[in-house]
Amino acid sequence: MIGENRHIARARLLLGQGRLKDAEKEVGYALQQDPNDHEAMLLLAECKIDAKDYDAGISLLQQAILLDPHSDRPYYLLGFAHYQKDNLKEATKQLDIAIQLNPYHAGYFGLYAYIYMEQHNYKAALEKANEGLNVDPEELTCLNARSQALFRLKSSDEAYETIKEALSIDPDNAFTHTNYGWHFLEKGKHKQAREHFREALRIEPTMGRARAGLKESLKANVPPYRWLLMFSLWLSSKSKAARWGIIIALWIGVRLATSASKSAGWQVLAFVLAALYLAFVVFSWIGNSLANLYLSFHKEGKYALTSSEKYNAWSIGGVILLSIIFFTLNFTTGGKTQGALFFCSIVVFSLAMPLSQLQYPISFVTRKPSFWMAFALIGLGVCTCLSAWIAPAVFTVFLSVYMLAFLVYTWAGSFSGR
Amino acid sequence: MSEAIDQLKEALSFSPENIPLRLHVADMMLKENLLDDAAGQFNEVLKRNYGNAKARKGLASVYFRQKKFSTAIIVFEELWKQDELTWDEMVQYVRCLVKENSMSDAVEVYKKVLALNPSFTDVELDAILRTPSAGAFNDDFEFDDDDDFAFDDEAGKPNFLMEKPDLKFEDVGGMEQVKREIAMKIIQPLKNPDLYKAFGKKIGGGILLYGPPGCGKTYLARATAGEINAGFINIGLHDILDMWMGNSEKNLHAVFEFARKNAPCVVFFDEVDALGASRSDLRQSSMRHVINQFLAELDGVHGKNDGVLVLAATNAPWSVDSAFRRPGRFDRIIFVAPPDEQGRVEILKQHLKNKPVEPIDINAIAKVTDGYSGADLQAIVDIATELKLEESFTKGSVEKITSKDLQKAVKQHRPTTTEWFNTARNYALYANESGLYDEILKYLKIKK
Repeated sequence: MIGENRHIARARLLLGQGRLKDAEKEVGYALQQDPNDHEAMLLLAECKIDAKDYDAGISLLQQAILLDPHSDRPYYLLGFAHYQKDNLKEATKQLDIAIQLNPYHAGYFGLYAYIYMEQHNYKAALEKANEGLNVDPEELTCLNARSQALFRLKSSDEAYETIKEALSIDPDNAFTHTNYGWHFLEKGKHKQAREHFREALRIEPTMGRARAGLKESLKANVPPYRWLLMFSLWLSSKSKAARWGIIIALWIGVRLATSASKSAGWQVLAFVLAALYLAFVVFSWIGNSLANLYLSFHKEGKYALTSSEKYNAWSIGGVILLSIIFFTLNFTTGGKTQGALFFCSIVVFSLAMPLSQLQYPISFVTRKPSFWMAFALIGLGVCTCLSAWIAPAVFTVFLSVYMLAFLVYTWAGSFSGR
Repeated sequence: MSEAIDQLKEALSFSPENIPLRLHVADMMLKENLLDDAAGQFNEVLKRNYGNAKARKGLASVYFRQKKFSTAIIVFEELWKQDELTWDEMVQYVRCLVKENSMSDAVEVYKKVLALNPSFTDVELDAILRTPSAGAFNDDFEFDDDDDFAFDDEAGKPNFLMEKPDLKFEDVGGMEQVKREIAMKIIQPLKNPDLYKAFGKKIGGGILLYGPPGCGKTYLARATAGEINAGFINIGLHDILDMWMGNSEKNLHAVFEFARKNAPCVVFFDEVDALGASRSDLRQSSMRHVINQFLAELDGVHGKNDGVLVLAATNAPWSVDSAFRRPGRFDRIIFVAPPDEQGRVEILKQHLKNKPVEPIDINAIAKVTDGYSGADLQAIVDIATELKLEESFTKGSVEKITSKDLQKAVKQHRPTTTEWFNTARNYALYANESGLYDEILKYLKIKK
């Protein structure tokens, strides 16, 4: 009995210190002595969940529940694992049981609130967060969920108050700072956002969400990217149907506005509107890569990029540079290549779109159709440009095939949701 | 019995590929103490099924009984590394190691034996591996609640083991900078106490070594003890964890008292971050007591720490309680990086020393193993050795290790330090206010 407890006690300490492998080993010894030890199984499940091995965690938790169906924690952990796996329905089901068994654990309500947030049901999320705060007014998950829900429900004053409260309870909480940072990013206050991300990372340097936030806040130095970021963050807070509605409405709106201004005789306005829309579409494809290109020259930002992002950004920068060279050559040199150079410059520029979808190092064993489509388009584009020199006779054929392929590619890309 | 064996042997001659049967026969022979025959059968099994754990275990048992301890150790060692040994076999392994005088390995295995079965005692092993107790404490948790209990002296053994390492600094390849720092901080004060007094420099305080796993922190600590001919007490992760449970303050005090009595003595805390538990538990005051006790001992509140040198190592310096880093405590914090190219050459040479090798271009191997730790390099040699062993079995002659085998092994084994550096990089980039991780930045060639 005593030896067994010792292993479990050790495992619990190790788990608390984040030494997952050591903890697993200790739990293993405990389970060797008693394979049906409920406590040990629960600890092992927690190790697995902390290591992001949710499936293993779930099956262990189910075993633990069979051994002791009256303990609430396994249900909560199950709910958490399902939440992480995006099985929101199952997560709700398990959390209901956990709360039924123990209605005095504020953290359970916090998780519940986040599940509702994920479903874009902000009112219900707020309710759950408030329920949790009734149990424990200083519970940080609930406070965070409450503030995020309030922002979405447009009660900004209350939301800011809640965040301040959370920070006054624990000013060293990386989770709160990160949430605050993302909120500022959506509001376009990238400098304030950056401060909070920095603070979060000072406390918890390995926190992925805070690092991603810091990166975005640095990229937001570039104004067009900042706007794009604000737009996409705002868009992501909407439900899927609403997102499609907004995008289609935008497209129809632009079409209507251009044709209306055309018929009213304002050709210039129509042109400007169409150009703006086109720029928006192109930038929504390559904006991220361009911002990464900026970041790769930033003193602090260059360490935040992965090497894949770096190569991606450079490839985009490369084709844009090449496109500009072709464009200027077209007007400085005369001769028969003059028109072809202009089209080449457009083709090369359009290559930035498929290029922005590539991961580095390029792996040909992938089975993703999107990769092969991008790759085929790039190959076709290169052939088109080469044909302008090698076989000018077939250049126009290549060009029209390329244009068609490009159209198909962009539409397919948009519908597959990139 | 022997009749049964004969019958089974006959059956085997008809089905020589029947491995379970052959193992059974071999086991029976072992029980009958027909050691040579048993060894023959186990070898047969290994010929047919290379790497069969049961056969290897049987073979080790045979060697053990034949008192061929060094041969047994080789087999046991491999099984030990693969975590294949049962508890009984571990005890056999310890006995072999003791017989062959490999005390530090014996201590390591014996600790595991005790961890799995805390009440195990063995007169012979205890006499050699456990240091004579000062009689003040014991490790049995059953009796720990009250020190006045009569059982104390009967159990009468400390829960840590002291050894006298015969390693020296020159045995440690590379790491010149680290060695120099340790010399200045620990060795010179001991050798020239007057000089330090003249400069008004206080003697004491410890060194905290940090860096990716497998880069020789423990080895270095042991060599430090050997260099000054001092005793070496290794307090591992389990010992530290157990301080959180039961009679922690007393145990910790006992360690230091023991060290003071046996000065000069190096006390080495491996994975010292486990003592800090800095993540979430710090606000709970009950968890602070171990840390406070440790700090008090370091400061020498309960007794003079003359001749007691404290070294600590950690893979997670960010989890180490910041109170540890104050002057007079671990005021020297040293980064132990993966070996550089020269270091790697030496380590590879060391591991290839007593193996059948063709002339190998070690420099080429060292060049492509940037970022590999000492343990990784050992793994590479192990992989190459295994490849060759397999080939030797099938060909029936000793095949030598070639450069190609090592290159192949390098491709198979990725450096284990990468993961550590990924984490360390984040700490160095974002949480480096006090400049604690400057060395990591330098190693990663990041300029801020």
